[in-house]
Amino acid sequence: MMPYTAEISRTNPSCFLFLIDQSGSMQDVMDPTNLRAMDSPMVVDGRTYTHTASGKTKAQGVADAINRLLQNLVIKCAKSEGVRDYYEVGVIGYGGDNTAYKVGPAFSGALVGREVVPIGEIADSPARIEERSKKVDDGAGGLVDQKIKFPIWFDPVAVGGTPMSQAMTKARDVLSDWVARHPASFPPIVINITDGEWTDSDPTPAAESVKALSTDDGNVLVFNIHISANQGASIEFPDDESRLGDQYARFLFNLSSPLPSYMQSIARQEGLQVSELSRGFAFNADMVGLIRFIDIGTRPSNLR
Amino acid sequence: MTITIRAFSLPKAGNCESEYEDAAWPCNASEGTSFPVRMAVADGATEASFSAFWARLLVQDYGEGLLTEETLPDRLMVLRDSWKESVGKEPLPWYAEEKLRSGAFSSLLGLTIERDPEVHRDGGRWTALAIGDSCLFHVRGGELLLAFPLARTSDFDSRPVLIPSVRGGDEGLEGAMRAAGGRWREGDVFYLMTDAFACWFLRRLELREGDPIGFVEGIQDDSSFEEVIRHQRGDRTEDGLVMLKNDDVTLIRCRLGAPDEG
Repeated sequence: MMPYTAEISRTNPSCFLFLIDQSGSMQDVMDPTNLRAMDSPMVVDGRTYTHTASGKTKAQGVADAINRLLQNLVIKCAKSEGVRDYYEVGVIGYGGDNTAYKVGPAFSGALVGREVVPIGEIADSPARIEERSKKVDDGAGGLVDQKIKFPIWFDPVAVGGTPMSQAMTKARDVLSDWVARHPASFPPIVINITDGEWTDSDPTPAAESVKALSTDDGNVLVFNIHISANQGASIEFPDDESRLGDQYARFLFNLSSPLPSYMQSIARQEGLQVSELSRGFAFNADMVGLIRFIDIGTRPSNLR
Repeated sequence: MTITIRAFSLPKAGNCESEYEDAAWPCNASEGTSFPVRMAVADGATEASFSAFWARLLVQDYGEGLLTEETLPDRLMVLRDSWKESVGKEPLPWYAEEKLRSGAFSSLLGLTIERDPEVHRDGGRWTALAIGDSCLFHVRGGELLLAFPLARTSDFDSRPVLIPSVRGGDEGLEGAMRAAGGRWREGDVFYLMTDAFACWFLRRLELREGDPIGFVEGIQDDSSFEEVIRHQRGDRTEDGLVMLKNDDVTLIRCRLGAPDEG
């Protein structure tokens, strides 16, 4: 049997686990506008700042992307009678002071402290529901603002270091239990979102131990997204590390699983260039790239 | 001349009866002698919510002779109002509200049979209307005369144009509507099938394996239908393809003239 073809059902749900870098640098503005030099440099949380800028911080951008993904997953699983538990989802944050790293579940509200939660329970337990407006077609060729509900499960945090190795170890612990309970399921997908280098120890052995976990349908997939604060082109699903500018990008590329063939097809449908050797890695991703990557990485192959 | 119609259905494996999202008109068995006779099947999209109700509205409207090729745009307006009124009655959680906004979707295949002695002493004309991938098969003397609107398994993809229950998704709907017509005579049999079963039927014919026409002609009752569907869902081609995709399955069989042994 081909791997990554298992039907996703309530009997055999699948799992997404997000690892979110919550280090201090995630306070940087993601797509800065109105950049201005300060009269004198300022030190916050051990980092020196020389400019002010407007825009979402990386931590806010990531929180928006995760909340939006959870909302889309809930809506995808919503049926006339309620939400079907096709998925279980976890969000693990990693950050904290260099002397006392914090690695653990990052849901806000009623789900606080929960590691992996069925999508139906996520649907019923947002921390709060905000109203945002969205431009929609008015049916007569114009656009109107429509109020839409934007549920929040996850709030931005940005403090301290980047204990990525501990985050991968946590993922291994959570998922080794999960795959043992769901041997016939489509394998879990781990999406690690970070903006920088780890500060604890080389996460490679822990990441490899996550990728070594498997169900009957294949190995756990580990994808990495590097969030940009720099101008410059983003690279999604690269198939060759020599295209990647720095050592750290090459490191994350090598940490990432190859894209299964069904996901290569989805990426091609989205107009992206991918090959058999493409990996689940995005370098220097902006907000649009981040959302697109998460969408491709979490779109089901065979949802029933 | 007796017209004998039987409908068979089975939900996707792993789902219960109430989660079945196809629809058939008539929905069980009917026998009569008066023309015209109308029947329809529809396949509500799994990704949407309240699709089963939308599919039922469509087949009923076709079955009652209201929805036709000509009246489609007007009838859709009426049916969309009924759908909206019915699903919007109770207060809904945030996700159900969001989901309703994008609407339900369904295919529709309708067949109308009319008697016309000028065409044939014991026969007449038939017309069919299709949007999406539910299929009609016309069989005479154990031979397939026509498959409509799809005739090969390679014609099935996972994104057929479907009829939306809300305005705004109509682009391409008119272009996606297919119409067909022809002559029938006593002894002919028509089959209406939703996509998974239609694709299975064509696959068996393409592979020249088994006797799919003999099988659908010979179905006696619900339990023999269920048994074969369950067996086919587990079967695979030599290339490892699933013979019958796990999906809701609906079949209408319409025999003209010869008495139905089922």
